[in-house]
Amino acid sequence: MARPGLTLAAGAGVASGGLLGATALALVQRGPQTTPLHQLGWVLAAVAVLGLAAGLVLERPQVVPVALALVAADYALVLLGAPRSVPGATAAAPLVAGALFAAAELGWWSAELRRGAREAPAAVLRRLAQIGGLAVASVLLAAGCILAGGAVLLSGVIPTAVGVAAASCVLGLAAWLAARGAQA
Amino acid sequence: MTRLAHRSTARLVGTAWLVAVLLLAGLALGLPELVALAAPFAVALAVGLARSPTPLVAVSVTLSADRAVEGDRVTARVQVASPRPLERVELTLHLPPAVTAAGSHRVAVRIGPGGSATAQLELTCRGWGAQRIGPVAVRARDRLGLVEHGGWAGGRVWLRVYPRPPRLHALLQPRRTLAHTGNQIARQRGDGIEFSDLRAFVPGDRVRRINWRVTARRGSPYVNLHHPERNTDVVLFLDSFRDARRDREGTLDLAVRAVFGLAAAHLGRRDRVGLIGFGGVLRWLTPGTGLTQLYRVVDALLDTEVVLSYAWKDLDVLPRRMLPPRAMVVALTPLLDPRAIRAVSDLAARGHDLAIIEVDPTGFAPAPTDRVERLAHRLWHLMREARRTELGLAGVPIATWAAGEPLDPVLAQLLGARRRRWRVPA
Repeated sequence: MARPGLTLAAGAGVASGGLLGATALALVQRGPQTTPLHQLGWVLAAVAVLGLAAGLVLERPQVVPVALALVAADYALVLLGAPRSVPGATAAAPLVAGALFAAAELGWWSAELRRGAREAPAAVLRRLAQIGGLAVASVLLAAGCILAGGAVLLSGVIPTAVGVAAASCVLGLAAWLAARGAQA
Repeated sequence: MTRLAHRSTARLVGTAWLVAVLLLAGLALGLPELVALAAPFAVALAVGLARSPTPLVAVSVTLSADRAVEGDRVTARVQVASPRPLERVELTLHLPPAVTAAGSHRVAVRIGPGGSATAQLELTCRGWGAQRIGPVAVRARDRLGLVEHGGWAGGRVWLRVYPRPPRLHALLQPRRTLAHTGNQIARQRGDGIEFSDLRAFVPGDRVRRINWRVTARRGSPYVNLHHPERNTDVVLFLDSFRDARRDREGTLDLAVRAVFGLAAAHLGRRDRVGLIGFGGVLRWLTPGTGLTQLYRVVDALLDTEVVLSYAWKDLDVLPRRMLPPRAMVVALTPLLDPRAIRAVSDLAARGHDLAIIEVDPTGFAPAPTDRVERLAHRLWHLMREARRTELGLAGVPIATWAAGEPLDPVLAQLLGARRRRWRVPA
């Protein structure tokens, strides 16, 4: 007997993987052409896409953030390899953020649908619209961050200290949540 | 209202880790672009955690019918209500193995500002019995899916699934009938419709019973004799000590269906029908007649199950009124348990009008795979054959009924065997 929602889950998974793969591919092609970093970029992109696909097929949604982190690492390689005078890599950050957020949403949705619940058609359309809206909001938010980061007011020791504190808080939150035992 | 328990999702933990890694990497490498990548996830995390109050839900399950026959479809309505909107509520209706849902027994609904939502599930009754539907496992999540709330809610409703009886065209004829009017043609002679014999007219005979053709031919008055229509007591003896089962079908299922069919057919003939469930749990229903008795029989059958018991039981544990002296006893047994075999032997020894339908368990046994198993299988068949022969020699007509075969030929076989036994040698 065919499981309801499996086609939808597969579609969401393919869309997530495709979006992630396209982002990674674009980043690798724009990245540094020096051989070791270029090769590392390819490896990270391949591992990210294959890992995401395997995780969604095997119903292991924990791989979604790992795949996103690998593509983010690809982006970091691009940024590290490119000369700072070239603004193209930085300007792509909002698009990369939007693509990653959309890929994550599609990946989580695919994992949710794998549980086999029957979805109403209206709910599917609403979810698609929500993902689209969140992706656009992500682009805008990331653009705002880039603009704020470029301003003189936000450079120096104090913003760095705030950043360290924020990262530490989030890290602590993640560790606390992991210790409580998360459920898919 | 049920308060659902709070649960962190893998998504929440994963997002938190991702944000932390991106922020730290951005700081360590001096790349604000990574912070920009982390920003949407961080905002989602903050919003998701800030807006995750524990929801209260009220769930109710209703069925379109509380009684059904095997193979019927019943619609289950699961209604969920919450004082505040919930983006996605996943409802998983707990179903017994004998009831399946078309598609999935898991449905996702959205509770809008109206405060309630209803999901419909098409259920198919695959097996007989009193089936418990519910409770409902509820999983509710917020708009961003970071925090999930879950728990069991809703009560249980009972769905009584009746066995689908086999079609019967002929029934066993009892050796003796009762004094009450029924549809059975009695072996005695008296007032009735069925022609029996002729005899010479004697004073007191009714004139309307004179057979004028014979009278004209013989020259002296002759009258027709008839068999009266009477009813009888039928006691259905269901052996529930053991059940040979494969997948969803077993000997007990077959026997229950046959008992239901026989009870319905005999009650339709105005017979009085009683039931003895002889197994780990002893059940009985004193003989009665009419539609009410049919419902009593069916309700008693629904609770029939194999209960493991090592206690020795024989007929002495039954109330005396359960086995009226002129009753016809039809036993349905797989002949697997020595207690049941002993009981049917005792019934025969006590002079009851007994017929045995052996519900064949051999079809449910796994096929032998090697030489030793083949030998054991053959020995088992021989032992069963010897048991049947013993019962036959004790004067008990016995016929074997295999799964997938109609019951009518089995009854015809028993009918023939019983007629041969009653025939007086010339």
